[in-house]
Parts: sequence; structure tokens; C-alpha cells
Amino acid sequence: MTDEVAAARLKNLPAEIAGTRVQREEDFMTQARLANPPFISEPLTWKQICERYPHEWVCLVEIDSFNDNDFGFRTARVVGHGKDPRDPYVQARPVRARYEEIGHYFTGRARGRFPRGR
Amino acid sequence: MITHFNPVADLIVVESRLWGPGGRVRLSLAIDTGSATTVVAPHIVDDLGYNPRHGVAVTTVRSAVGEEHGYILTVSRLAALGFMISRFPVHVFDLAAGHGIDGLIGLSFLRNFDYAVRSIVGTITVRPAVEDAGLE
Repeated sequence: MTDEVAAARLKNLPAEIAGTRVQREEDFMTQARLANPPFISEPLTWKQICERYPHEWVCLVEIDSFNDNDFGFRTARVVGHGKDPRDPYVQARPVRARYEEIGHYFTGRARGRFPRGR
Repeated sequence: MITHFNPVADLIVVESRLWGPGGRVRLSLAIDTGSATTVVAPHIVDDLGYNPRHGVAVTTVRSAVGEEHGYILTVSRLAALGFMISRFPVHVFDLAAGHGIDGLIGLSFLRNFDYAVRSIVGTITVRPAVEDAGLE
């Protein structure tokens, strides 16, 4: 009989739950945050982003734009990236509340035919 | 107002901004005069805090793989080509993967403007079609 099973019997608990661990949800979430800190890159130019994440979708924050109309910017930080358009959004969730604006871009070439409505 | 695009790219892609309950997002939309509606991919509006329950109509699109469904959603604001339109209806629809864009700017947006596309130099010059067209 293991110590855990003995301890469970002493507490009048079924032996099956011996070894289970009760933890405060808040503590668990804190540990999870520490174990998986949110990803955020250093400021990068668009060229550097394309080289680091070729043909991927990226989510960008702290975009230092040349103006409000055109695409170009000096630098931005990457908070998520992936092959599927949804991937970077999932990775960016931990920092999403920190930023009012987030950018979603593809580092490859845009191409393709569009579906047509009826 | 002049907007620049990459003249050697396959598509005319311009930066746009979309507002929602969760903030705003910068996205890449392709100019498509063959599309009646302005189309935005679902993951964009999801991230902004919208969901299909905010939609005003269900839509059906025929594509190579059959019929696919989307919905019409009135977003709080859409900005592109240097102009912003409030309470703007967009077609939320999943474009097939591999386009590298977040949606299309269709005639529902473009018809508010006179515009000239210069394909060689990569610019679109836009001015409001009607001064009081509801633009901010």
C-alpha cells in the first residue's frame, strides 16, 4: 500500500483518487502563464518579418506606420505566426487585451481566384 | 487621396482597418470590382468580438467545392483607401486558403467613390462620389 493510498483511506476517501492533486485555479493559471510566457518579438522591419516567417500569417502590434493609409511601416512586433490565418490570432490571445489595434498580414504573395456570389 | 499598392503583385491589395467591440484590426483586402459585396474572413470579425448572432442575414456562395454559407454583418467602422464608413455591412465569408488576403473590397464600398487605378505605378486615387455620402 502506497503512502498516498494510505492517506486517502485515513481521510475516508476512495483509493482511486489517491494521488490526485487539488489546486487553486488561480495558482494553476499563474503557473501556466509562467511556463508559457506570451510570445512577443523585438521590433522588426517587414523584410525581417518576411525572412523570419516566410509564407506565414502574422499578427503584429506596436506598428510604427509611415501613414494611416498605406501598408508600409518602419517596425512592428510579432505576437503570433502560423500557416493558417487563425494560428497567429490564437497565439496572440494572451496579449490581445494589451493592444487596442492588431495587424494581420501574410508574408507571402497574395494570389488566387475569388468565389462569386449568386 | 492616394493609396499605394504593389504594382507587380497578382492582386491589388490595400491596407484596411476594421473596428469592433474588441478594438480594431489592420488587414489586407484586395480590390475587386467584380464583387458586389465587401468580404471579410470570419477569423477577423471573431477576433473583434463579433459572432454570427450579430449577423443580419445568412448568405450562400457557390464555389468550386459546392455551396458555402456566410452572413451579412454590420461592422461599426471600415476604413480603406483613405476613407472611413460607419455602420458598414460586410459579407463574412471564408475565402479559400492560399489567397494571402483577409477579404475583398467590393462595390458596396467602392461605389461611394470615384476612383482611378494606375496599374503601372501602383496607385489608386480616390475622391468621394457624393460630398454628403455619409462619410465621416
